[in-house]
Amino acid sequence: MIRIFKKSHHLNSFVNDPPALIGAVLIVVFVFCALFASVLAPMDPYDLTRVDLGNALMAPAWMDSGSLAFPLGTDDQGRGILSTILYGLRTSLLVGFTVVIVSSIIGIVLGMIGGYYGGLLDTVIMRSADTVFSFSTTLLAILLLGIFESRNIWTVVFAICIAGWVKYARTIRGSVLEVKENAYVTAAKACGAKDFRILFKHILPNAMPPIFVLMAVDMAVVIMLEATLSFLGVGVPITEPSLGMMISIGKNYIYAGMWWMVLFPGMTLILMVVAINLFSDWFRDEMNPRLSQRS
Amino acid sequence: MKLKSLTLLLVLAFLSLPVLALAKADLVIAVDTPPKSMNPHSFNSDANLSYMANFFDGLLQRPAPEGKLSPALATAWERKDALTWEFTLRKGVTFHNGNSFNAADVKFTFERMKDPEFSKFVNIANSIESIETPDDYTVIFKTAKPVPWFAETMHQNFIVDMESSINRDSGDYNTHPIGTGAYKLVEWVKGSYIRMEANPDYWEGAPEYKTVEIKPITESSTRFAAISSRQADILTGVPVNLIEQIKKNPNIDLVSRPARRCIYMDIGNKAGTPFADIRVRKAIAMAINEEEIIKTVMNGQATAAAQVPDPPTVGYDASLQRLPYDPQQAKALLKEAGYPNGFDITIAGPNDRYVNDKQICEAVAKYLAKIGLNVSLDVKPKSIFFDELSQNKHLFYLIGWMDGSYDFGRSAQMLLHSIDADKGMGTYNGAMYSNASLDEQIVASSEVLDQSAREKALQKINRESVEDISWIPLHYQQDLYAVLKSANVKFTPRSDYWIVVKEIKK
Repeated sequence: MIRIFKKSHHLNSFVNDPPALIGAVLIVVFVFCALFASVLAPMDPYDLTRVDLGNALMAPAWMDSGSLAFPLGTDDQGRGILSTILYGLRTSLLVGFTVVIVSSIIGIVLGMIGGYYGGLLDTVIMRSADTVFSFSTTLLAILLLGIFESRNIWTVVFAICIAGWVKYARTIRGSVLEVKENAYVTAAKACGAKDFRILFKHILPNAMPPIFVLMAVDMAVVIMLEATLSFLGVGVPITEPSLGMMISIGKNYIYAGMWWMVLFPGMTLILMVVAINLFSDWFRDEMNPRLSQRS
Repeated sequence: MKLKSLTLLLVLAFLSLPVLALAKADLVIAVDTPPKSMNPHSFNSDANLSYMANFFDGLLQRPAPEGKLSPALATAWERKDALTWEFTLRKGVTFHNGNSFNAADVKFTFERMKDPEFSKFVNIANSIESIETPDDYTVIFKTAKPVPWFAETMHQNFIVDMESSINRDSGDYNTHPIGTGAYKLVEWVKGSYIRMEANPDYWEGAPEYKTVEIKPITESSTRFAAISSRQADILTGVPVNLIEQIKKNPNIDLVSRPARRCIYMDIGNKAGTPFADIRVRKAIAMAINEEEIIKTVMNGQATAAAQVPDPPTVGYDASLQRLPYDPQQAKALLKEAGYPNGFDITIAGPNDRYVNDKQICEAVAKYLAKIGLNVSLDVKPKSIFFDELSQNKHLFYLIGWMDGSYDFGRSAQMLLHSIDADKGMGTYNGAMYSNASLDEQIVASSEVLDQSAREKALQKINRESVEDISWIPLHYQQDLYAVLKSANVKFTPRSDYWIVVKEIKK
């Protein structure tokens, strides 16, 4: 696989595209930080026995009231900002990956079924997709989260998935409608191939490129959405780290001049989203055969 | 060219007309809670009563700063025997619509308060057996059973006009207050402001500020922005984390006073739970470092509490002491009680009701984790949380209490007495605490006529409840206000956090 990639024009265009390179490097750094948060972080900010209220509201280390134990300062409960960001990255990326994978699978399956079989099935699937689509994603996720008695990271994933499968279904349905008229599909049918085989072996591989692009872009959107929900207090519970929640806590202290509680998690969030977008821009161009032939 | 500039001038003049119409009121007050209704009996919450106190009067009132019970629409009152209360009414008072105030209005008001359609004050109203009006200016209440704090609630039972109220539909009744109060409502724009003007015929003399605007702004940073941009003269509910900023601001005065509300952790003693053992309750109480909570979470703006009632409440006992903060001792107590490895405990609480309520819950969670309990947190919006309390879903939770009647006997009936819906006892005893000896004393205390004997009985109940750790008092909140220096306002905060504009002087 790697050998193929090395030989292909993809590597060449990747190395010659500085924004994509920066994006990719940042993504690797973020993923690394998230995976090894427990090793890298000076403390576990969500181990109740270790956090001390006496350390609350400390400034970053380079300021007068700062301490080296908390390089980026602490929040109102005495959690280190740096540690909380590292653990918060974990939540962001976990929610991001899971939602993108689960909602794309739901979307692909439903979209393919609708596009391939058509008729009543198609109408039902696509009309319900339209219904979901007519709500703003944030609003729908808030509504869904209101239903749950207790919340955890998986209820958030569930809510965003329910709101997010639609764009995959619509995209893949379009591709399926286009691809299923092709001669090789008719040929496969003539050979007596089962629907299942035709769908997954012949149609899906040809319908996937736009889906990959969509997934890359969606990742950034989902990470933002999780942060938004947590900022609003309907996302992950307060016992779990989240960048959005950090910002919402810090918001109360902005007028009091304690900027570090908002700035650092906010910067992290922005950097992560920008990195993913830089990478997905390049990725979109690569996946588009017309654009790549030009170069 | 001339014509053009003239036209421009005219256009500008017309554009500024609405601005003139909305000229700034003499006094603008930004508050933290919007009114819900203009029916004075529709909500038994201080937030709503605070507005009502400007449009209506009670038979009695509690002027700032200490809130001593004083005459208002009644000039004198007397408890004739255990069940009988006599009020002598003030003569020559008129309602905003010109109708005169007399005993018939009082009778009508208390009868209307019994109707749940109009009133959330059914408790006090239903305790009344009969109302007699021997003449136009005397009212005699007979209660069904002894209610020692009957007169103590008369500052919040606002009197409405009988003649006009009977015929008004509820839509009008809930939006246009007709009272005897110091101010008349001019305009209520929901979610934006309330405008009112002085009542020139007020029986205490017309108030000093002629036009007043109250702006509810619930978001605390936005509210703070209103005073720092000089759009408000007085601000209530200053967020504790902004205190340093306000102290530094040369244009704003910070006014603070101890609030009546006590924040405490309510804890039950239900058999079969670890809480049934007093050593466990004691361990939890000793594990909480209240001093640190006040210093960091409350930014110094709170006073440690050793009991739930506050000093002006009948039943307050100044000799009570907090248990010391001692995590080692707490661990030892847990071990003694048979929980050397702790147990699962859920800390519940609201996250939008009291000052920094969520942060206090988080802090308590840390302290309990440090003595080895396996803690989970369950904080949620008050609308859901209070509902769950009435279903007794939580055995350990954060809550606040202040008794509007300044009487611990009434608090004890609702908070401390075992739950008994038929007798109306233990209504807010969400953690299901139960103690037969206290139950008996609470019932007995309401029959005591002599005030000082009653106070002793209530202090004993209070002391025993603290000794049995039926609750873990944390602190009394501090009410914080900001006043614009250039407004030259003489503002004295009240103990009940109401904004009674007639008390604000130039």
